[in-house]
Amino acid sequence: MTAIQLNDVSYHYPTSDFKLTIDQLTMTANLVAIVGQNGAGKSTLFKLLTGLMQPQTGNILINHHDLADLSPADRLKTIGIVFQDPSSQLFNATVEKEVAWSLSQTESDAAVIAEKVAQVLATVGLTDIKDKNPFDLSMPEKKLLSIATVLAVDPQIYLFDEPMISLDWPSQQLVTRLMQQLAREKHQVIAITHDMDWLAATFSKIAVLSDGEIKFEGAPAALFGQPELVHAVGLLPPRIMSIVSDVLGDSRVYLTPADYVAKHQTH
Amino acid sequence: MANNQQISINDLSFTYRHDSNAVLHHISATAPLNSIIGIIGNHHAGKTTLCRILAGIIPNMMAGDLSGDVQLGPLSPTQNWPALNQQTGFVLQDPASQLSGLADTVADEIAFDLLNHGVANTEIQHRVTEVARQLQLTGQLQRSPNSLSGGQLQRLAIATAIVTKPAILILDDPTSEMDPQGRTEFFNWLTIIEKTTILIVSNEIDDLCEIADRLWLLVDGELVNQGTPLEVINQLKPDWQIGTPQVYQLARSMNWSLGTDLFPVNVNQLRGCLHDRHST
Amino acid sequence: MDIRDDSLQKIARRHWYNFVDPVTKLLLALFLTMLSFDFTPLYFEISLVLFSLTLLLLSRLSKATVNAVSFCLFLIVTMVVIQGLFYSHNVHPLFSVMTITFYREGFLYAATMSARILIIIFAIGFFMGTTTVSENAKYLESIGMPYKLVYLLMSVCYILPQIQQNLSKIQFVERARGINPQKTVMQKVRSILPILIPLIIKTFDQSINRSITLQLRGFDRPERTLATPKYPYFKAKFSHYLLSIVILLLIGCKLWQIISRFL
Repeated sequence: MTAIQLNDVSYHYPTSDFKLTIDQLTMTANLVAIVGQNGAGKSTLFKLLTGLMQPQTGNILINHHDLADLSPADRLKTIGIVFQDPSSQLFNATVEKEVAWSLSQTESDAAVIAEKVAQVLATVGLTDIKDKNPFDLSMPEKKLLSIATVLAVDPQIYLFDEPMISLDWPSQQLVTRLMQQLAREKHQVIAITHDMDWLAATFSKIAVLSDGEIKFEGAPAALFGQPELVHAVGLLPPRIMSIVSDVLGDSRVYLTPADYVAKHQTH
Repeated sequence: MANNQQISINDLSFTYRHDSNAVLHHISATAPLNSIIGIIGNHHAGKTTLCRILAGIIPNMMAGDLSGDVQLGPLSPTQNWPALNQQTGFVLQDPASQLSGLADTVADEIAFDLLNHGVANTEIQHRVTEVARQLQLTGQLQRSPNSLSGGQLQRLAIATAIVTKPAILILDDPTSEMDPQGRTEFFNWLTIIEKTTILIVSNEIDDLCEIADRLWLLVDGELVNQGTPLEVINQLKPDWQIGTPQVYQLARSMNWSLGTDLFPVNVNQLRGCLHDRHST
Repeated sequence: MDIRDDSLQKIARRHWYNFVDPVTKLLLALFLTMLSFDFTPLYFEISLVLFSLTLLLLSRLSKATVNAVSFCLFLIVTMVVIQGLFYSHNVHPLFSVMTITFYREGFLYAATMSARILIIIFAIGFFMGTTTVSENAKYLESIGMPYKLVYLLMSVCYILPQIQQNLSKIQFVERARGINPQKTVMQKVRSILPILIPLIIKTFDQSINRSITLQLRGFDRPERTLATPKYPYFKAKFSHYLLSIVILLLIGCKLWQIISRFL
């Protein structure tokens, strides 16, 4: 089980007043979502978790090792990053080479690489277009490819920045299934998102950021059971809650339509 | 027969130059002017291409093999593009590349469109303030467009498209980077715009069903269905792989129908449906 | 309050260089450059360097200018060393370090060249640091240049920051995906090679999108309202005529110097 621990972490940009301060945050659950309004500090926290940007004070420990001390190769094996905009993370001539490039950073055996590439392309359903240039792909395909490049390395921790953006419905389902699968295989999956419906349906734990501070840590149902807090941090409850409270006057917590159905078919 | 009061697309097909496969195949669709039309479909469905044709980007700026006919009321993007463009606002998928790059401030960026339309300076002042208020950019007016977040950039792109009060608004996935409040406010705001035909591509099926008068559903370049959201969602086929709104999922599971096998797709319909059930 | 013209709030913060219009600044840069080519005494060159440096220091120093200047200083040092050692007219030794002798002629030659480079860099830096793309665009349009041409000129200026922005974004991601340490210059150069093509494609894509939307936004419509210049400028026309005439004289003078050598 991987544990990520942030101790007294702070970061501020030289050019703005914004400051991120996290006294204590421990992430041990397999599926963690980080949420918050625009400008709450999500992207800053994300960049710190990638290990590519260091906090000015405090440290980030991964299984008790300081993230800043990892060698580049160890960092790759530890943290896989899926950025929001896939078009700026693809730079090889074909889909196949794109995945192979990532693998070649830590693996030198060509046969192993070839086998692994074929395997992950099948997982994300891109086998048929493996010879295409990544630039000719549609947005969802690019995103799936960028996920494949990380899957190939098989890191302990997966970081996703807004994974649902620019995906269509079938690819959203595919990515969600993949993330759940990774979590079941004891990887830690962390996602930044502003999609409350997806969050409510998918994650077991959420950390809420507002004004650069953690305002809530816990299960989605616990967060959405506190409407004042949800409002104060600038979030909205899942859509099903607004529908049910609007139409039926029922203001209890429901995470998905299926959740409502389950709770009401029992009696 | 051309009708001046509606949008009509007639047997439209299109293939990009340097490409052998058609992106749109024999599309025919109609909708009344001044309505909101949601265009839905998965990737490779041809949504963006359809928007480009409606806005006249194809064939005026991008080449390819275009056949068929498009009428937006009295105008056509193929025959009277300058006149049509005068009355059209367009928001691209990538809001950042829509900006002129010649403006130091958000206010200047919005004013750019008004200057192009020859609007007088006093009027520009008024219109920029107004549109910034509508899209909650008032606090950003003096800031550089480069300093905005993704969601704010999308709102700026929308502001530049609507500030000239176009009769036709074409929006290609305009809310993808907005946070939930921003998105909800934006969709609510679309419903209060008057005398404007809005064509909007979006993956937000819940929001579309709340506000759209009609949905056009594209699958692999073909228009497989068109009608009210109620009709289109209730007639979905599983192999089209389109998500359904939560109201519909809920109503279906609870068997709250509006009569013969027809389930509500938005909050108002759900309310009506439950009201009817209680009164009978 | 006028929300677009920020004159009301910013009048106190307006600097002297805001009263000089962009074209005058460019002509001034050209004028200083021509002066340095026409008159070669080293003291004169040095005073020109100091004058243009003062201009630069009195304006807003941007990080980009500092970077450009430091890069030039690096080039200049290399040039001084090479010319001091190997200039073809080297005769008089200046000083010796161990067995290596520096010569006066090469040193002077390199110093003159360096002075010219510095003058150009400082003067252009002054222009770049004190104007914005939008101020230039507005001014050019207001003095009668067709907007289409203004836009073309400006988009050439705009493409460099755009490339830089894309480059840093792609490089960050490349660093995230790879183990290349990118510490030495060689490693940095090698890390840029694979991402050049996506960089060009992305920038090209953005340029096409921009030109499409500008047409949609009607930037070349005949009824376009002429932009008003951002600031009221001091004697703009007069400065243009004066500087243009002097520059033409200097060019004529330089040409005559060259031609008279063959007579």
